[in-house]
Amino acid sequence: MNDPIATYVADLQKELATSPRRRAAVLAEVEDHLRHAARDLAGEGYAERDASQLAVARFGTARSMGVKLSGGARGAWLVFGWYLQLMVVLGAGVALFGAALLVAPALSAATGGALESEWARQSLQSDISREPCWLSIRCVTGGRPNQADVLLFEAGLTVTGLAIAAGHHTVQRRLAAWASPETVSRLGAALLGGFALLTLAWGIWGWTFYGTNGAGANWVGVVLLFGGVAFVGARWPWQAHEAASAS
Amino acid sequence: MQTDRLKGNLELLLLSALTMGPAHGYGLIRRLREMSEGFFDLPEGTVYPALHRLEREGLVSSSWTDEPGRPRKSYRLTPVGERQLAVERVAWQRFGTAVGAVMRGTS
Repeated sequence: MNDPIATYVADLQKELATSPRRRAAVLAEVEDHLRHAARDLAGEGYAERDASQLAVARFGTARSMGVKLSGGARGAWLVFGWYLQLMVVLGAGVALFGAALLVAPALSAATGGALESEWARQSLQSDISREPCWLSIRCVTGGRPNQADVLLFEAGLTVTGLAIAAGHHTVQRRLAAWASPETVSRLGAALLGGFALLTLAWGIWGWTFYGTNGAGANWVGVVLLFGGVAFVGARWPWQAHEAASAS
Repeated sequence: MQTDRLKGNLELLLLSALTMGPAHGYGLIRRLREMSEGFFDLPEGTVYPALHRLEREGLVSSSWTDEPGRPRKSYRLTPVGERQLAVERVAWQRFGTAVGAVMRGTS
């Protein structure tokens, strides 16, 4: 039979977002408190297991206590966690974009040209230079429904964003159990740096290949879209999490 | 209402309870309950974050003691905490006097 206090401490460990050293100290203090409280409750006549369960129940849920006991580090860590997820979305977007470029010609052929690949016919140079697409989704809904690659790309991005939104808290918890805020920060910075270099390389390639057209504007739109989706994805469960911690 | 009243005064209560000597978190909760004759039965989940906050601000310090069975973290007032408590006590007394005066005037 599981020890309720040991189970609680294990759950709390997953929720604490702080340095490994401080985490160990907090867990030791909490466990000491719970053992002490359970012993007193047993002295009042409760069965040993009931006393442990009651002590745990009185202390607060592992989730809410994880927020409260993480101290100031949690705020910084949440930002870095969000930042890291933004990088994941951006990376996923680039991967989807690549996949769309591969799939779009086949889709175009399968639909007899009804869904033609914008990039395959290199209309980026002609269309976007005449009408900059600051938000690329507008290109899809603004009278050019033949952009199969852009459509696939953005649909995939939206699904990725929603998936991250749904799994945000789980992602945060797993990161907390795995690394300190500083580690997450460094990882996030490395990913951002990598993505920035990739974007730069892609921009130089596009500029060289297509000349000075609307590729830059399109990239601004893509980054804004990524950022928006990631922000919504990160923000919504975060608020729910804060509400849970306040209760 | 009770929780709202406690919110702004939890730190003051904890600092006051520590004037009686060092204590661990669980002991502080019991001490406050006994000193207030059961009125302050503090939610346990609020005490530790408050103690950690006081520690970060330098108003209390902590040390680990080896007691039979497991190590235990004990808190004590720092000189800065004592000075802060004195200031807070005066402020609280002025506040209580003012509230009392208004209440008497409306009763």
